[in-house]
Amino acid sequence: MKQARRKERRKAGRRKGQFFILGAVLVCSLFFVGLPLYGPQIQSYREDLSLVSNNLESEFPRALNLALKSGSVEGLADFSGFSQSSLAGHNTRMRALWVVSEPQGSGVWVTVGNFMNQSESVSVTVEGNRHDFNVPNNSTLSWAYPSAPDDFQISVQFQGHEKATTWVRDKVGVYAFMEFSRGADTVVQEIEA
Amino acid sequence: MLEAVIAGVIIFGFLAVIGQTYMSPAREDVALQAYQSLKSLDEQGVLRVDAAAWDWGTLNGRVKIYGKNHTVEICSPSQCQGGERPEGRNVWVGNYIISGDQYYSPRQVKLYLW
Repeated sequence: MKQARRKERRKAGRRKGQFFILGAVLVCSLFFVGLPLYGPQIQSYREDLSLVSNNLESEFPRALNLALKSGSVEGLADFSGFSQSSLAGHNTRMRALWVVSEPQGSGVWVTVGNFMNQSESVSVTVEGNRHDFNVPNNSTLSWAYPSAPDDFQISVQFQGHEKATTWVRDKVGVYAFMEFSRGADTVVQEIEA
Repeated sequence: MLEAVIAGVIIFGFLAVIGQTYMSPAREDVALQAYQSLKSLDEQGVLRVDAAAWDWGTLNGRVKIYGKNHTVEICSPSQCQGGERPEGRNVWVGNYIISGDQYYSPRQVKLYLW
């Protein structure tokens, strides 16, 4: 009789023990059920892109200076292509469009560089004189604006973007639009110097 | 008793797996650490000189990141030079693009941390 009771108790004890295992499995599965509540897991991408953006924000004007030092604004085009291909190696897509103004007599010589991964129509207006640049991808086009006052108004229009500002004729001016993207994350930056 | 031990093993095993997967340093922290290290060297005026001269050994020696191994690789549009790149998981890379030092000579400086 006693033995039968002991057996019964042991059985009951085992059944209770199974609840420990069940509880452990439940705790583990609750973690995975709760995961979606933490929201997107790819925040780091945005941070990573902002580092790239920060790097090129400071480097772009310097690249222009070094390019001009070597005699041509074409160095900036080379740097744009280099940056694009370097970032592509890290799954980061870079699109850039820039406008550079250099003094030329009583006017200015304006160069547009297009690295937007497609041809772009860019309108540049200097003191009311408008010129439309149809720039193929990965290339530059230039145009001479024969007269400009010491401080001149310049506006740049392309693909839904517009930038209007005042530059000094006897100083090199640059405006650059840059977009860095990876997956769904995008960082856009404008540089003016 | 046996069931309690099994439950404990399940929980600890789960925590060990989760710990490795989710508790490892966030990608942004390491990338930021590498980027800031390179930026700091640039601000000290030494990164460009070494990168333009392809002196990745000296540049690597200037990097001070404690608790991690590191190596530097310098790339131009046509070539890369640097230390032995580590293989395997948990290797992080920070990038810094420069246009040159005294003259136009674009370089991409990569700092691998592991």
